[in-house]
Amino acid sequence: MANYNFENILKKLEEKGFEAVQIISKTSESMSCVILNGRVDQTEINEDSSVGFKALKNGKKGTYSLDTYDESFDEDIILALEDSCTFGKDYKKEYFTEGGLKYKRLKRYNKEIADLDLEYIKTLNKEWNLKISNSKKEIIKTVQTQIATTVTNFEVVSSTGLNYTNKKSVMDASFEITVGQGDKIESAYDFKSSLDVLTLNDLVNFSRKEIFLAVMSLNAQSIKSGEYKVLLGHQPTSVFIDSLVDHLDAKRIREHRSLLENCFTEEAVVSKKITITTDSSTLSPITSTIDSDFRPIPDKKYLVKAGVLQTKVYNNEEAALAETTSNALSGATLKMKAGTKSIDEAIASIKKGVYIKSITGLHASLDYDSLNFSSPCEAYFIKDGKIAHRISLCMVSGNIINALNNVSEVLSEVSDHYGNFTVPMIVKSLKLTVQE
Amino acid sequence: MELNILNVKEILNKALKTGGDFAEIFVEDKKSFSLHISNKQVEGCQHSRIGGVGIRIRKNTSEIYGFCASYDPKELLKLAAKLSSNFKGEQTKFVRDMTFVPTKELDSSIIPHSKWSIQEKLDYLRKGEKAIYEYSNEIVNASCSLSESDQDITIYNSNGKYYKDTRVRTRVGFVALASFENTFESGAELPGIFGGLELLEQNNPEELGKKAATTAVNLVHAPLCPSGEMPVIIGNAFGGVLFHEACGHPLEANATARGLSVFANKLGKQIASPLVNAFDDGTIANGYGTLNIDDEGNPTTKNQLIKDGICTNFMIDELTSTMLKQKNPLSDPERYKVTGCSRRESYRYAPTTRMTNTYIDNGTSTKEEIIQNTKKGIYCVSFTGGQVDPSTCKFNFSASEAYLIEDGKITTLVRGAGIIGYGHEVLMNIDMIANDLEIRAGMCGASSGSCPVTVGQPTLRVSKLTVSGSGN
Repeated sequence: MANYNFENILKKLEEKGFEAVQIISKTSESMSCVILNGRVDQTEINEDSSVGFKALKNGKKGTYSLDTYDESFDEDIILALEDSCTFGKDYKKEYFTEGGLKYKRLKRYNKEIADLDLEYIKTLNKEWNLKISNSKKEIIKTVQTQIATTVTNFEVVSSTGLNYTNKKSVMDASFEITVGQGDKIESAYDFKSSLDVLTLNDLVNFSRKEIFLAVMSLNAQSIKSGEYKVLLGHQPTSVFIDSLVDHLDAKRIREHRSLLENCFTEEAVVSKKITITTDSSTLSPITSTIDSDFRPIPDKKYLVKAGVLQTKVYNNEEAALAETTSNALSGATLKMKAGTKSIDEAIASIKKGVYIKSITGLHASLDYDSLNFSSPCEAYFIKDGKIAHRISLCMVSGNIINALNNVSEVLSEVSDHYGNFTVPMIVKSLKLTVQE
Repeated sequence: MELNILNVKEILNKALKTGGDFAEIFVEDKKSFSLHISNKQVEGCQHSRIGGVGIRIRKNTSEIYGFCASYDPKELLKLAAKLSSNFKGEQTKFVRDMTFVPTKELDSSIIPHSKWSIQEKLDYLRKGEKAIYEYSNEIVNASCSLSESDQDITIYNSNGKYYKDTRVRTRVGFVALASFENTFESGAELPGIFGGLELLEQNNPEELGKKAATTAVNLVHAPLCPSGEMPVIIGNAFGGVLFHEACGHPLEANATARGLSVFANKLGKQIASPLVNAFDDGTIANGYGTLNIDDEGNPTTKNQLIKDGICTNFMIDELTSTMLKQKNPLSDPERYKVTGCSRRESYRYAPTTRMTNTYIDNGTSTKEEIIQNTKKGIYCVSFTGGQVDPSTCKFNFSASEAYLIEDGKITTLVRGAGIIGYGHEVLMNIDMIANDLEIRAGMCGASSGSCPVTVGQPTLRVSKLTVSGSGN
């Protein structure tokens, strides 16, 4: 992996009158292999790199990014930063993160993952692919599996004393299957990221449930469109919580694009069942321990407590504009306070309702400003306390803030599967439109 | 950015060392600039540079790809050696000479990005911003942006050929956000071209800003869209996102050749209403998805995908051409020739079949006739985007602006309409096509990254679609 020396460029920028400079470099080595129906389809070996500059001149902030660095780029970098600072935002040197901060260190580098070779990954992937194919031979039409490893080195240096390094390794696995019966074809997809080496057993267990659900989808049935009590799984809950917290962002509020701009009172804005904190201590591939400015994220800082908003989210830039201090929450991993009832108990308590396991197509189906959504979903009909069947092609629609206001229960199972530590929840009513 | 030819030959021969029958080096140097204002403040003014090399080796239909963010020949040789160790065998193909294959010269009418100062570009955006704020006091935010890119690529392959191309692209965006009774709605105008600053000369920022603001303010007062099954009239221009999502992606040979598309075995068969003629055309002058050559060095083409409802071709690159020929050994070799549509976001992605400028061609009806002939339905004018699963053809897309049609007339503006369905069903259910074809710029995300494209179509009607909205 590339190892850059930024000493000279820091010096040159200082000579050119830049008052502060911060340089972030990220280098990584990765490999991946895709198996399609038992055969190697695509293989990759990559050495990636990216370098970002943030600089201050005449009280204005500028940025520049490039993929790789050597001294021949210095002149370009200086000119680009001059341009960017000339038109940049007002900023102050004291808002460059200083050195000497105390960081939590989660051990996320695993030499075993770094030492895996492509042959091992291919063999493991082929075995996994075969296991899936053989599990429901009569209806599985295609099986595409992918295994990848990535080792990343991360370094920040600055003229203000910040010097931060980190190293991480992850092993990722994903699969996509199509199942068919007669003219009917359905598909299923899932993804897993791990800090430990995944074994064949791990992979088989991970894919088993999705295969079951894909098979179930062949027997999907329509139900009447209308309002239903909804059990939202981990993924849609994570989307809803992320969207809510995005509207706490100080930049969004400053730009008058937040639905919560005038909601920082003692009144609950969403259901009192909802409490959201940061979590920077749980060892997991998703946990953030530093914010977007390399400040240590405080653990268990409340963002929403019993439905009441607790704080806006300030990074350095927004803090500088608001003349306050950053609360180091930007980019924090979120955690919902869990309830006591399990998913199975929740389903058993619903006479007639819908379990929405995932919602898709969000870039088009969710308006991030109004938080209105009309999204395709993977949904199951709950009847008399049991899952009766998969629901055929359908969409769920509503508004995220309204839906979070209508949460009657949060459940007990915490999962980090979709970027936050979330728990499923029950919404009293959401509109489902089903293709007839 | 070019590599030394001696180094190129050494790298390609290293890549072929273990019996690969094709190797390719893709060299990229892309300079970008973006300017963004929001809430009357410059939010971003940034130059960036993407640069590196991707190496691809193919043995029969098995492919390995790797990249490194470096032009250093030593690093590239190391990468080629690592990649070739993926195959077992003896070298059978040798690269001895490299011949430059000239491609189309850069259009002389392109106004280079360096022609305007940053201040001039900022002034242009400010004019649009002013028009947005002046339109109504319900406007709470105006977000205006300019993005420019100048991409230089060189492709060397083991057939002893190399190609160079320069791709200049420009896009501007004017987005207005209106607020009323604690809800937001936005309107956006986002023109883009394969070209330079002539885009700014051709587009009046005040008009674009006003149009975006009008949409936002009208929408924020509109009721929510009702749901149910109904005839849907899809507007021209960005309405083409329907064809792009629901039918374009499943017609990419990356999916069809692997049996991962519902259209995999449909060449020569009816897949759409006989009214439908559809093309992927990478040669349209200044189209946002236009290319002189694709990312394998092949010239782009005007490729007819559907003729009178019959599937006439897929979008095919070198790898999928080989795959399709092997699957269909008895067919005419011309049948599966490459169509110049191999694309990637950058050297970080292996190229694959992608759309360029994709559209449904004109029909014989008029927009007015289509509306008059619809008793009850919805008319979707513009969209925020969509997605598809090619293996099932399930798609969704969201209309940002839609109207109810009642008794053959456009009545009420509604917001928040989502549409779902199966692409193959939609194609068969197109029952009227107008003669007002237009195209619009957009970005398309898929396995080889995010690529500029255009979508397009005339106004058309789908006899039945599932519409989802929160209204009654």
